[in-house]
Amino acid sequence: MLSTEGTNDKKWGNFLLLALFLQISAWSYEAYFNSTVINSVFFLNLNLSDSFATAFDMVSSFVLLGSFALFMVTKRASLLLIPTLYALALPICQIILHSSFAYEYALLSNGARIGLPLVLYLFYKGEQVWSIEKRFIIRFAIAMTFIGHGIEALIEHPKFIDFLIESSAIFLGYDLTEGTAIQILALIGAADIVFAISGLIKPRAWIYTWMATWGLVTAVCRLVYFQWDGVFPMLLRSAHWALPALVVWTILEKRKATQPWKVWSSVKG
Amino acid sequence: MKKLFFSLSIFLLSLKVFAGAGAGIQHLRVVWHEDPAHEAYVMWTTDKYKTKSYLYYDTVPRKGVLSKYRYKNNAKTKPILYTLDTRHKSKLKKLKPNTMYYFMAVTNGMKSKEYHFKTAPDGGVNFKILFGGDSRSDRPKRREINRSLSKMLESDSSILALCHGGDYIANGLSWKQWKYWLEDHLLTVTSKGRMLPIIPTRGNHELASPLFNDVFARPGGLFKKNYYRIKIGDFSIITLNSNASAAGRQKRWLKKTLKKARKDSKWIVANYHRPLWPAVKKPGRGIKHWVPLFEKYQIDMAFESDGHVLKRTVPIYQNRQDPVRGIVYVGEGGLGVKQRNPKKDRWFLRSPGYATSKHHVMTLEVTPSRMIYTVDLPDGTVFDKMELLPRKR
Repeated sequence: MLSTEGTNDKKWGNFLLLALFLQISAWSYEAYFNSTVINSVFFLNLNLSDSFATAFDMVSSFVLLGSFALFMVTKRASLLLIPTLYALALPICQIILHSSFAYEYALLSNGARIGLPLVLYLFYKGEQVWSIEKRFIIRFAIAMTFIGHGIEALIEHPKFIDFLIESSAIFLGYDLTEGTAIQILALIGAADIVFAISGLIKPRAWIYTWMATWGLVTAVCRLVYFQWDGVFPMLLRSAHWALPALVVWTILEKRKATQPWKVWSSVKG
Repeated sequence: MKKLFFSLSIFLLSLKVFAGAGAGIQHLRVVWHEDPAHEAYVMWTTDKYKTKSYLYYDTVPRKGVLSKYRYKNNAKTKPILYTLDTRHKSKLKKLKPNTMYYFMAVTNGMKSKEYHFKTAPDGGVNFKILFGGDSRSDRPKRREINRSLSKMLESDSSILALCHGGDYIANGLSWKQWKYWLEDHLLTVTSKGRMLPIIPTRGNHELASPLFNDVFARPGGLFKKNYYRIKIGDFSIITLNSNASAAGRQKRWLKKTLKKARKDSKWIVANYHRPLWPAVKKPGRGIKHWVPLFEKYQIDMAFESDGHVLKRTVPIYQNRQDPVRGIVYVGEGGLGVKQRNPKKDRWFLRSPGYATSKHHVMTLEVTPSRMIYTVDLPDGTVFDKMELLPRKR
């Protein structure tokens, strides 16, 4: 049960639960209507039947949604271990399959998606992890994701190149070349890694404000690129902006800058 | 004592023989890139770094007598990354179209058997190309299918090459898996020694592995990321790389190439790994960048892999079924990989389209007046047949 006191903690608990719900919705959609890497590992690596692998996907989509609903009713922290384990299983299967670009970094890139249910589990178990002293685990999860994506950008992930080219065409009406997109990606990748490490060493509000904004932008860019098909890929990345936003809030809270007119001066530090 | 000495000598001799057996010329293959009427790569592997490597070839069989071959070509040698093996690559140029070439590979005194392959015609001749993808994960099935390809090649001399749609093996970074694949590809050789040239495509399991380029001589050249056009008379196969950016240089190249192909080719087919109209997974990024170009330049059909099913879509044009301007997308890969259950309820798979779960190889017969597409199952039965007439472009 919730062990921290105060309405602010509850508010942020609810905020993260909303982010987790969005993430779980996206997982469930993918598992039910498409197929997951777990399915592929079952089918091809473990040599199980396609029907079994598909049934596993479908059942897992219901289990994920069901466990979340049950958690909302009972507030039993152990139910949050189901999405945590699922979040962990996805990158592990990606590594086993060797089929996607930068699969070697899948555990890093999925850090925030694993971290979100884990943080909530620890919180509701009564560890109070997002008190200022114990929020390292949150920062670590964010850092993993930003370092992972930073590496993917540096090694020229073709999907990122296409996102940049498409976004430039849509928003700027400018036909970006692949070479320029790669140069921009190098800057983005380096920035991701620098921000992730510096945030890990010393949490500063402006760094995490940037990370929350960038996390949101990169999630929304799925919607720009894939239109309606991008809704669930966007929701899947809810942890990428929700966790940094939580860190910003904890820093501001420490500086007692909860009044809106004091927020900006506090962000600047 | 004498007996013991004799037995020991026999034992040591047999060891030497067996050790030597693995040290020969392995994995001989013919690879086609842009101009198979006049050029081909013959490649092989040895297990130690050897520098003196040659290819002897001629248009008539010479039964292994090296001095009788009219042509001799140096082969470039290169150690294969992180292994003790060496890759040998001989590029044959100025070949005669539609001609059988007999060849032998020689590396530091080791000789291969004599094999042969037929160059592509320059036009005016009917021919067939085999298409298929996904030969990974189920080696016995892959071997079975390769034997059936050998039978097809044996019984039909108009078959020229196999256009492989990618996912040769499960882990593109594993040389051990590549070796198995290359050994198995030799099962496609006919009893008389005719080889089936490979037209390679990069699949997602090849990742960005340099071994793909080591095995297939860097299709597309140094500056393109494994996308290229192969032209046989007035027939063009445009092979794309679905692992690279779909919107960047590749899209520009595709547009330029389609513009050119529209003028110099009666038949244009596209070939790439990740399906744009998938029967199992989600579409690749090419759906946004390539499909509008396919439709604008009215390609004849597209070959896809990756889904591990057999499918044929309805003719698709601007997201709708259109029997006149629509493009049919076929394939999804069944050269050995375990087959999946397709999602048959997708609109583009309704009749006359279909999706099913069967290992298969597709044949495209190219004639001046029509193209005939057939799907053969490993037991030799014809599962599907479709005729295409030239398009107005």
